Amino acid sequence: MARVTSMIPTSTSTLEDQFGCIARGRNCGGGSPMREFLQATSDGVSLAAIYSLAAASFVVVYRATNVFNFAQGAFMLLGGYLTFEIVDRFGVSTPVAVVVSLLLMGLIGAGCYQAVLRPMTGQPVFAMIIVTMGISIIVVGLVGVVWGYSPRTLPDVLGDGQIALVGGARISYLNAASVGVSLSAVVGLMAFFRFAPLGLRMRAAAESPVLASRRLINVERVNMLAWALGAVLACLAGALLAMRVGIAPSMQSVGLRAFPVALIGGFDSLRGALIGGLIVALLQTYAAILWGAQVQDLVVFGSMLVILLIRPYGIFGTREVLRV
Amino acid sequence: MRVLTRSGSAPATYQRSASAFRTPARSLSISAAVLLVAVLPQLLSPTNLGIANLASIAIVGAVALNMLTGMAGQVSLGQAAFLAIGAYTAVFTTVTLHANMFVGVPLAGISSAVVGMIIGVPSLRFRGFYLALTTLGLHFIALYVLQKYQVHAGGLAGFVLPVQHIGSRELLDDSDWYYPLALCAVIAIVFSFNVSRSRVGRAWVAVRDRDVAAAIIGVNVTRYKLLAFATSSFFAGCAGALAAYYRGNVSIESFSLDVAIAYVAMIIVGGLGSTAGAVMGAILITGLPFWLGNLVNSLPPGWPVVSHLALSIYALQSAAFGVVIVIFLIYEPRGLIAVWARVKTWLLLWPFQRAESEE
Repeated sequence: MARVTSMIPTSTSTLEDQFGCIARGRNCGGGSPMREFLQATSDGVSLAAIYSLAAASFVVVYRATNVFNFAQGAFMLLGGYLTFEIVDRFGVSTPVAVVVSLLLMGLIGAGCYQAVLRPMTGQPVFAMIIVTMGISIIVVGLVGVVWGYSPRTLPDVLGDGQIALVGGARISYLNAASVGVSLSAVVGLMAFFRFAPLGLRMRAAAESPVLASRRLINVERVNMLAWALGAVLACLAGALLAMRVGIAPSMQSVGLRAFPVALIGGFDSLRGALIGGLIVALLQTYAAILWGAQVQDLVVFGSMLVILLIRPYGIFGTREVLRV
Repeated sequence: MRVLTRSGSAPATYQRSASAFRTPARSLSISAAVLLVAVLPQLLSPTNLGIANLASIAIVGAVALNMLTGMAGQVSLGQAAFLAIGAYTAVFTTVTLHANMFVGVPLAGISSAVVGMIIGVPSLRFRGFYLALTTLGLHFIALYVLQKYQVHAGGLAGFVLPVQHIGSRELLDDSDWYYPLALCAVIAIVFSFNVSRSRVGRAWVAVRDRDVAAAIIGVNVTRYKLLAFATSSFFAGCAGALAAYYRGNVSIESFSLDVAIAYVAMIIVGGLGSTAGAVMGAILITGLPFWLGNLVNSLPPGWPVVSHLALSIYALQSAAFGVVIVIFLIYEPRGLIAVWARVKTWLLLWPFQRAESEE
């Protein structure tokens, strides 16, 4: 596991612990409990932006292809590193690098579908899950081979400024921008699935590939585009993460948290990805304040188990009816 | 010679059909395998003997997971958690009970089986992806609890276990450990093989293929699902404890999610549902990183690419492992055991096999 000493000089905490600490706010400690609570809420909301994007990446692939994609954490990682590499090597500004790496990740996502998922059409769900895990392992391994295990940080283009919110809480420009980007991306996607012809085709292809292909929908092309779109969203989440705390191979655990988010919201619901992201991020941030950074995974996956037991299809998801 | 060249087998009684030694060829191959296991330490180099020991432990774990996922059809990403529970029970046995591995391994199995029963409860409601997510959640919870125990009882770096004895003989190096570990692997294999031929094994397969239909023909689905979780996690716990005693140290970092995926890879690469397949998969996946390391070391050292690869060998090993999973799932989803079956058919029909295979 990557040890980080350069970013917080006095501690030997891992990047993940630090992720929790920064989620607590730039000014850890100090201030009244009320102010700390508001600050945590503000940081939780901006964390939710990243979670929602990661979960939306999952939902898009699931909605269009009925495949549970375990690789989007790895795509996040790759997206973050690609953005870093483009900035580092070609000296372009971060927004340009993000756009380029979004396009690249779209190609990579489509390539993954063509190379791996398409030949596997018709295999059982379990095999599909494992093969996406296989993709994830390959991508994370290759990231390790190319970039090693030391963390990288993207320059924060928006500067160190902060916006004052109610009660003394603050939100950095970057975090405010992530919330904006994430919200507009997910709302845009909702509109896309509802109104755009391609979005409708994706839904049709997921509902019944056979019937969809009879209506002259090219199911394989639609699926490929869905994978591209999923990878693009994951890349966006990864780039935001890289700007926020930096990125290292161990950060794929942040990608894993997209499952609880998607599950709580409902696997096939983009609105659910937004709300689920908010719930998980706030729970995690408050828990980190109350009991320390180590409980984060426990709280996130614990709340997932609770939801699984009482409402397995999530808050906004479609109830699955199984006929025998 | 006739027994080997005869094509096909036609058992005349049910008893014969279910027999472990159904055909003379099978008796022969089982004897050969036992002989091979017995003389292996003489044939292998010290490094390879170490791999053989790790493979023995992996065989126990893979056979266990195969009973749960391959036979009973219950997807689990919690294998690393069960191994961890086993390993930490071994620690507990040493630290608190001051007992040796003859107490520790069975105790690890039992404690892991108890947790397995509890983890099995959600399987009564969920299947497929939801069950995978449930076991994923339990993986993180188990690891959190064990990490707390580690910090509380042993310190951040983990635990060191004392050298184990069998009688008055100390188990120091790989050659001392080989026979005890191989024996454990054989016990697990024989158990799993016999279960698959028994009423329980048939019930599991019925639950896997269609649980509602199984219930209709009188299989108690609840009971057999929980039994599958308990049996599987018993052996997984034993494997975790064995690994802990063999390595001599236990720390929470060695039970990451990658381990759980590695075990899933073993049973998929070997062939889901087949004990022999789980064994082959365990050997292949355990050996892969070592063989890949040798391969990289044997490349000409002058190239900059090679030195970079040698530096990032760990990442390369894990990527290779993903490649193996993906390739098997695409090209041979039924695993090594299907490759073996095809070779066998080819040999049996020789020289009258058709030019193209029938599938």
